Amino acid sequence: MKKKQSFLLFASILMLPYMIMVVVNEWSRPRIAEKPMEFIGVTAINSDQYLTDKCTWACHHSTTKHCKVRHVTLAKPHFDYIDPIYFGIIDALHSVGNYAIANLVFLVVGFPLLMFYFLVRVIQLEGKIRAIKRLS
Amino acid sequence: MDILRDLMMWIVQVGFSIYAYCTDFVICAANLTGLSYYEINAILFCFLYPFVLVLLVVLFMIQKRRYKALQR
Repeated sequence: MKKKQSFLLFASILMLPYMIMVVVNEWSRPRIAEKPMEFIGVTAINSDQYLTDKCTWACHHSTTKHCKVRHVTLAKPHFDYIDPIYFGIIDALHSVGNYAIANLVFLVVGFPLLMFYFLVRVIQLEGKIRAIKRLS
Repeated sequence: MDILRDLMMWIVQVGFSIYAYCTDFVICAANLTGLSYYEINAILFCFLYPFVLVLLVVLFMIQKRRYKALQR
């Protein structure tokens, strides 16, 4: 594969999840009627009202008492398995000091970059293997 | 020192904005799919992230072994 082609392929693989996030958020933004939540000078997309029919920032603030009670259906029988992992991750992120920044460092940048690194290496190795097979 | 403090404040502010945007994504995705915030988070971070990471590490090791075997 040519260098420019592989750069484009890897760049699109890296950008795809973030593009999906932007599309979902910007598609939803004009369709949300409630007043968006504001905190520390940041205006969110969703509100922080405690609604029964849909998830809001209230589900982020009060996952156990609100979201798990009002909105969860599919995962209800599996709380015993999911909760230790789910709240284990949250506790681990809280233990770093700044929960929001830890979230970004590990879940938004760190892990995706690690996955991206291994994916790129797998694709590169496949290219090398094919090249050797072609020669032999 | 003021410049440094301002820079730090700016970085934290940008960090919070990105964090809010990502959390909004989970909330919007939950409402779009008919699942909940808790379920989307669990699917993404408890199952998908570890599964994909382990899968890619295993694939990488297999590919490396195949490549080394072909080189010999």
